[in-house]
Amino acid sequence: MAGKEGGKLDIETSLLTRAMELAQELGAKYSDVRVETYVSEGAMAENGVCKSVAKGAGTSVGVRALAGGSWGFASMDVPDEHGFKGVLDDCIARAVRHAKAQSKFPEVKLAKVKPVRKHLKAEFEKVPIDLDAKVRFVQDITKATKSMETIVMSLSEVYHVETTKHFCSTEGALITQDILRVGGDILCNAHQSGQSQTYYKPYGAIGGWEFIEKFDIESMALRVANMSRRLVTEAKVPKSGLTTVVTKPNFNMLKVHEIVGHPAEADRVLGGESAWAGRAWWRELRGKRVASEHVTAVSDARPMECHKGFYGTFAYDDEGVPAQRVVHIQNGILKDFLHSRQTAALSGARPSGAMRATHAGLVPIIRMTNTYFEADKHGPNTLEECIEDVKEGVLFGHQSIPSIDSRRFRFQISAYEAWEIKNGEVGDLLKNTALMGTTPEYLKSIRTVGGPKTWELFQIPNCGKGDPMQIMKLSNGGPIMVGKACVQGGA
Amino acid sequence: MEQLPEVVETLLSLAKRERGVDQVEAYVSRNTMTSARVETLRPTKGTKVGPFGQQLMTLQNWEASVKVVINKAVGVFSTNYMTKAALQRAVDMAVRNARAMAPDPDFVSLAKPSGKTPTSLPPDQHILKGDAGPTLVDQVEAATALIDEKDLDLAGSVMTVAAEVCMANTNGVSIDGTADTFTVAALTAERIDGPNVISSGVGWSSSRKIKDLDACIAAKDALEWGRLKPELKTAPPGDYNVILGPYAVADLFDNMLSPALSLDRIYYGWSWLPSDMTALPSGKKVRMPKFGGKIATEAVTITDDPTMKTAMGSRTYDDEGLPTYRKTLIENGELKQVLSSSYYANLYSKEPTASGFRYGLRPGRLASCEPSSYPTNLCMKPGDRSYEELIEESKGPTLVIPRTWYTYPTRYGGTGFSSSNRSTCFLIEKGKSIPVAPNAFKISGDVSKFLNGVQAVGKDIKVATTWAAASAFMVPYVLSSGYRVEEPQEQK
Repeated sequence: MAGKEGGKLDIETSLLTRAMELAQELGAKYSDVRVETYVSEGAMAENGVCKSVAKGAGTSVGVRALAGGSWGFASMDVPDEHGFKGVLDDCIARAVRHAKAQSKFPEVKLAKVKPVRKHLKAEFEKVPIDLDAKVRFVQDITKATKSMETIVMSLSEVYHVETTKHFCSTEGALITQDILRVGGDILCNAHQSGQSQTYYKPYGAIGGWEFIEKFDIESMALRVANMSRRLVTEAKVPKSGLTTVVTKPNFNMLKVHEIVGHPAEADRVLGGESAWAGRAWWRELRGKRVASEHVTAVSDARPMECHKGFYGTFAYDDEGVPAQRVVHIQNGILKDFLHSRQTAALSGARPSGAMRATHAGLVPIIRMTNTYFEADKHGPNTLEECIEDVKEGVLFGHQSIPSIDSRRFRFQISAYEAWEIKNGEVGDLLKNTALMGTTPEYLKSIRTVGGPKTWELFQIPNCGKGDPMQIMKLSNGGPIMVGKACVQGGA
Repeated sequence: MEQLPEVVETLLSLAKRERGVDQVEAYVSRNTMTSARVETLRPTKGTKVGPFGQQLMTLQNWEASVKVVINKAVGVFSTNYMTKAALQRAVDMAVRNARAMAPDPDFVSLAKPSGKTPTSLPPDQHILKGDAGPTLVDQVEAATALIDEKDLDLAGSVMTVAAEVCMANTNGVSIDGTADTFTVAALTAERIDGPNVISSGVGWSSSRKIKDLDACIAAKDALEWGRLKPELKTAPPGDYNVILGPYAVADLFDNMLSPALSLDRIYYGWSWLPSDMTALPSGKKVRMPKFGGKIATEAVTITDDPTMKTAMGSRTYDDEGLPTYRKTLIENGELKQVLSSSYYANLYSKEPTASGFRYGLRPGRLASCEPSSYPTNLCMKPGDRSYEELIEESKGPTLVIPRTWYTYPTRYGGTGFSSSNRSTCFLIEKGKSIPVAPNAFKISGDVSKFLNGVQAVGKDIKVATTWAAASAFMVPYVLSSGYRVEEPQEQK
């Protein structure tokens, strides 16, 4: 058994089926168990010197149970291969006991799904490079970027994680998904005359090392360093005010995330997240106009070519519901939300295959998948065409930090990089720039949506939601878009 | 192998046997979190389900890590497998990792004994055993019983966290076993009118022991603002004096001040504190904060105090095995000290402040995370003004904001931030306090201007925390300036 070597455990799935029988014997009306076992390896370097090499391995069990009308959840780590069954039984007993402890509250109902029994293997072309090569990789990247003028800090990390996820339910589902993930990041900090500017870019994929090769990380790192240098040496702070804003796909990734994806989560729409992540301003506006006719936005987790390698792509969610496409906004009209089995049953909708947990030790919650603005089939296919009629405005590039109200109505999203637009041409580089707007007015102001050749999807490695907080990986993006909003220049 | 000291002893003895190993640190943690979640759902127009206990959960995790130093190269391996074979594998992999690296010129040493005496902070055995579930359900039930109007919603959670830690290194630092427990009730009460939230309030209650937890205090606090029927849907755009309530001060400090007061963030250039590029005796050039320089008005004194007997952020030891102690960070507006773990303290030739904590993606303290500096209980020295006196003292347009939301910097290392009024707030006009709806506007601010604009500080301290934080904030109402109300709908 692999666990003896300190790596992934080989899980006997018959134990999971037996555990579900135990849950029913203890009184669970419904129960599911998730087991996740992983190994990881990564290296991090600073200014050409490897600062840490870290590896990890572990296995966790998480059990949900519905009994007496309420949810109970229990999770535990697995101490060794012999302790697995004991942990499983403890979690089942505790989850059922917790559910029963709340029996006086209203009954939870679940929308029906067809139970699936499948084992899905990880798809990749190249195995990750070994540890020594990872160390050299990050050392070389940070050495090259640190050598650039004004760069005082260059950091880079690279890693891979191999995971096997098992899902088994009292309804007969038994799904195993093997996943290989590779990724890393690059950060450069430039300093001149008492001023500093940081530029950060994460990268990653579900798949093998072929993605890292495709990304051409060495070139990406030099672009990160160069932009950091330019921000501190030549960029200026923009004039604040209402203007035409042109947003590139690497800005739209955070924009669609914050003003479409999060408010499309049904737990927010219904009010369940009101103490934490917040609510959704468009709760009763389905079928109404919330954006201009050019705007269509979807969440689509299906394993299509354009979603290949992206974090929001998978076969089944953590409730065993198949991945699917959900249209949130179609030509400006608000359509559907992302549902769990519970919110679907409450709302008369169908579950969206969007319930995911960061790992088996945490409870699944509604999450975006690949959530993006769709391209306009007939839209302009170059940046030049998109901005040719913009007399004055700001072009927003790589997204930085959001600040948004708890209904997702008023928002500010800053960018690492932005540029003036004058008379249809890109001008000076801008720093400390943010776009501020109200969601409906901004979305209704969109007058141009770029064509398919301007569309791009990006990885979001760190979306926070839930209580306890969970950090999820997902994907967001869209085409170039032209609209109107306030530009803020800050300190 | 369930006993934490046994795991540490095994890792330490196995690693010490390895050829060429100069220093070793073995660390193991076990965390137990129990949480009862309350929700109110409005699935269709006019229907309301709850408030009800949506979910009761217990999460338990444990992790061990071993860190070996070979010729200044530091290799780490973490695992949650606890058999002797798995621990041997962890040591082998950590050694392998260290050998894969070149020496780290910035590494000086693992933590060394500080000579300080740890504060006695007995944990709550009830929380430690993970059997707080029934108590939490009772607390949720009592809090939901306070919702006496159809238009009021209640949501949030009541939770307990226990973190047990055992560690030792070859420099003689060791924790035979320490356990910290805390409990938090965080509730939001909101008045609903059709599709709109017209008023919103939040309340927190926290402690180290469950007997001191009262979710009803949090619910009553939340209802104080949540019950209102605000007259104003927004406040006019412009510059305001602000009286931030304790929850808003905690939000500002958590996102804009605590990170800036961390030596690792200063080193990486992510702190807005005034600093110079300075050469260390080693010749390495680093950002050095200007200690003794003014960063706030004289009304601002801030300490980090992990030794408070009942506060949720209290910790006996940090995760490098150093006994914690109270530190003054800002005194009468002057920067005195910043928080540090041993790696960065050694790099700067300073004493570590016992602030290296292993926080990560799961509740508690995690062996798989490297120590990074965090505050414990960040305390602002109270002033002598009552709430009414603060309002009287404010000249010009003034907003009282009890709670803010997503108070995030516009750029990393910058002083500028954006935020929103998460709760119902108040516009002060001619001494009259007029409620303004929650989420009514965006706020643009500057943390440096805020600290340098503090005019007066309230005398009543409240314990606050923020979403998912392990730290607590002991903070009063604060009167300052430099908040700008932005109304992006101006584009109409």
